[in-house]
Amino acid sequence: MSSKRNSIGEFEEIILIITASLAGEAYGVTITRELEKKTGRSAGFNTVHTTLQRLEDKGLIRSEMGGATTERGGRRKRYFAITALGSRTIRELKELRERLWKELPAKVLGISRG
Amino acid sequence: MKKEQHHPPQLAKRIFRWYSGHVAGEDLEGDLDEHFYLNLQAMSPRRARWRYWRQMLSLFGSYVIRRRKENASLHPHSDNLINFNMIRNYLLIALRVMARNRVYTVINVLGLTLGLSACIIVFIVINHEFSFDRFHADRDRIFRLKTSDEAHPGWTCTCTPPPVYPTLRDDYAGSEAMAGYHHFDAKSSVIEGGHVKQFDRSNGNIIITNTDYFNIFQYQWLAGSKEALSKPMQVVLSESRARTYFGSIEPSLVLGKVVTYNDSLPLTVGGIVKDWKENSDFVRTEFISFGTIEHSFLRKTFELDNWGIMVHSSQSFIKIKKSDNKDQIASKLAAIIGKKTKEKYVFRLEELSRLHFLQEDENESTIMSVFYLVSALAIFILLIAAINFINLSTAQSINRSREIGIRKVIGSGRRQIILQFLSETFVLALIALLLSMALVRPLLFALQNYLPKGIAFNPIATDNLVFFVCLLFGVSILAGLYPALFTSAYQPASNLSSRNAAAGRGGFSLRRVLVVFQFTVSLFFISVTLVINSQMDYIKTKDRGFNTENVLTFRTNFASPVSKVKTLVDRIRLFVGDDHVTMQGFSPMGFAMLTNSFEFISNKGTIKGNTSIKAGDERYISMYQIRLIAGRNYQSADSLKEAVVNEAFVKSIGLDHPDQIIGEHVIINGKRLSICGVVRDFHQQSFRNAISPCLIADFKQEEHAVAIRFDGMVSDNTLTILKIEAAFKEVYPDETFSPHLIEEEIQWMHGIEERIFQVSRVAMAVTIFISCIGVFGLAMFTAMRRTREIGIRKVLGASVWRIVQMLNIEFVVLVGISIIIATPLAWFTMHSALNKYTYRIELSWWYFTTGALIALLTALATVSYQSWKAANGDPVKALRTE
Repeated sequence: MSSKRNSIGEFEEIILIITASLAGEAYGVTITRELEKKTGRSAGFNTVHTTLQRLEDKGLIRSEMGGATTERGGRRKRYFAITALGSRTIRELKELRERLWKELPAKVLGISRG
Repeated sequence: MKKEQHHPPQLAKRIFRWYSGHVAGEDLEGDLDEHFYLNLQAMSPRRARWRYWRQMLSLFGSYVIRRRKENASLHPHSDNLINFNMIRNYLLIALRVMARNRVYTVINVLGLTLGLSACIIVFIVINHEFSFDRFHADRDRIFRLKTSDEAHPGWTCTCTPPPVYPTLRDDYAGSEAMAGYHHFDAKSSVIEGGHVKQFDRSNGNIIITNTDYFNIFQYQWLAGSKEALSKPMQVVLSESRARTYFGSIEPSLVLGKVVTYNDSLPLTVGGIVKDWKENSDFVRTEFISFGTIEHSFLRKTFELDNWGIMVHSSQSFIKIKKSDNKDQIASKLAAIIGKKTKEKYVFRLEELSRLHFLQEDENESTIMSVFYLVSALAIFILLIAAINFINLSTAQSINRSREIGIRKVIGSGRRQIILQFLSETFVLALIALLLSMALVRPLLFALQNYLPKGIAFNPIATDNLVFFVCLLFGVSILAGLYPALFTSAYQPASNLSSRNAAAGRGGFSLRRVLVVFQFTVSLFFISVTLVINSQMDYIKTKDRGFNTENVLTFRTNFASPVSKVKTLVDRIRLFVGDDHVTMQGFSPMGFAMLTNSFEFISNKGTIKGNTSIKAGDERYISMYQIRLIAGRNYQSADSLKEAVVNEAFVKSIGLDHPDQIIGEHVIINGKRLSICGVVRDFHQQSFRNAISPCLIADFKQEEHAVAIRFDGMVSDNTLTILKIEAAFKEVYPDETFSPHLIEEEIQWMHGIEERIFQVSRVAMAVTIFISCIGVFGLAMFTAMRRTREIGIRKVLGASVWRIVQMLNIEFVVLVGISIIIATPLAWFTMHSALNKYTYRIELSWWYFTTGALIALLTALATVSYQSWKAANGDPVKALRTE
């Protein structure tokens, strides 16, 4: 169970990190904009929302409806926030990468760069 | 400022809202809008709108929407009814409820099974009847010619005189195709491996025709071609017939083989056609070429040049052009024929796909009304069964009020309770449907004498499957919707606090209305059946004016001379007695009738009229025991001189007394006959028709049939019949001896009445039965609900009799109301039905009182058992129950 929860794709990981970084201001539009600004890649409307839904199913983020404002014709926003499990997951992923990088011989790096 | 004027595409928005329903709601739509307005700053409005569309469309089938709908459906007030977990639960509960209330389940399943079986059988029969000749290409433009002779009113025949078809083919160019054929009734033989194989006569499956036939009726040729029929002495066989003759060999190997008809007509097989798979009244197995007639002894049989004969075996078909009107064509054809002959023929075109309902003497509208009647019966039976279900389940639902209360408190919506009750009905209907599907074949077998021939039941044929599914859902909704709505409307608070909140005794309730309806229908059928029964009795036992008891008749070949019949009759007289045999045209009563015009000559002038004609030798009147009331019988003579008429004849020419007509003269077919006697009126047709004027005389040319009276039962005279057959074979070696009882033919004439009678009897039995089991269940429920009341009454001193009375009175009142409603209905229906008969019984009050009494007694007997059981219960136990 836990391994399944941890197995997230690369795109999911990026969305997860962006959601975390937008703390409190993360909803569909801001997440899409941030993704474009930071990574240069544009993602489809459906792709972003599907990913958010999957992350929520996995318990890595949670969502709640914001209050009604005069913006967007009174339609509320769904705000996403990272859960404790979510932040542990990205932390673990980061540690895993660093550990793996450390063990990588400099030579191999050189060859791969060449 | 300018961008303010641009809005997201409204259509896209609407599609999105429709698709996502209430789940996607605001956040996704808000996001879409926000993207749109941001995009407007970066790109043209057109592109922004285009992007909005793309984003919206990408959400179709999207995981986000699916997942949200899934989550939403778990909510108790969800609109989403297709939830498999809940449906499984409903079915489980349905099975448990059925198992707990076995009596109700049995009543409902039994009733519904009967109703469904009736509907299925009626559907199969009607579907079968309507399946005939529906497969021909251009069937709405293909017609059969029906000929009437204007000179002889009433002379019509679904046939054409032999020269009609060749004349029309040569002189009328306005049709798309035309075909004519003659039936050829013959036995056949083939020589296979040195042995002669004989085959009996086939019934009307052999025709003599030409290539034109295949322009109207489409066949697939397996070997040879239709050109074979343009040569004389050729025959084309159907695949199945070829197999009967020559075994399973390649069609092409059958070509050139020889089939011999009537031992003297050897024909060469020139082609093989594939049999039709569909139902048809025009199934043919052998097609003999037209030219064969000219080249063989058939020339004498068929009289191709005789304009004056109309026999059923010669028929013509025409395929008209799309633009043509059939009535105009008919008068064109009559005009062409009118130039060739003195006969005054007129034609009517009968549509091919309707020919099945226009068989012989039966009237299309009669058959249709039988269909309507039978369908109505089936629907009524199903309705009564559905009423049982409605009554029992609304009554019983009071026992389930707590369950419903708890379901509602826990969070069940009304929709879910409705669905739950509907699925219970569905399970019950499904069981009933499966049972009736299993019953259909045995029932068809049991009813085969009353059903058309050749009905097969294929449960997986598309029409049947569609019908079953419609029936299943129809019945589930019909029977289940009201109980479901009724039950789901319970208020949990009142249900849970008191048990009797919804019991509702007394006053006007739907349950009572339905019981009244059931009994009205049953009572209607009881009265109607009683009346039909008396009318049938009347038809069977009324003095017809002649006696056909133990009279056997058979025909001889029309084409052979009458002197041969005379030879045969003289031989038969040797061993059955002189006055027991007569040579005749038609029997006194039967389907076939000969009518002719006459001129009555007296000193007051000439009177013209029509009369039916019975041809017979001088023993005709005495053999049939027709009573002479004036004058004497005609005497045997070589030339026709004398005739006897009936009372109706006397009246038709305005004379009051039979004696007045004796010695007067009448001219028929140019012959002057003196009237020597008058017989009492006797029935010639069905009881629907009035007795028409009739003239009996020794028209020798018409006397091709023989009638023989036996002393004692015909079945006890097998030996004599064998002797008769031997004599027949000596005179007519090539003919088949096929005698029948005149009584049977007369029974046949009232075949429709007989069938309606049988059907109404079955309907009566079934409706009474279903109504009774329904009332039985209801009485059981009432007794159970009032257990405590009965206990208290008994403790306070009420007698068992008094309690039975109290429980029964409700049902007696309901049956009483039904009697008041049903009696005028039944009276009116039977009054108008009997009006179709000239000879009928009088409606009397006792049919209806008997019917009422039967209904009342059956209801009382059914209810009393329950009442008696309840009244005899131990009051102590009764008071202890809650």
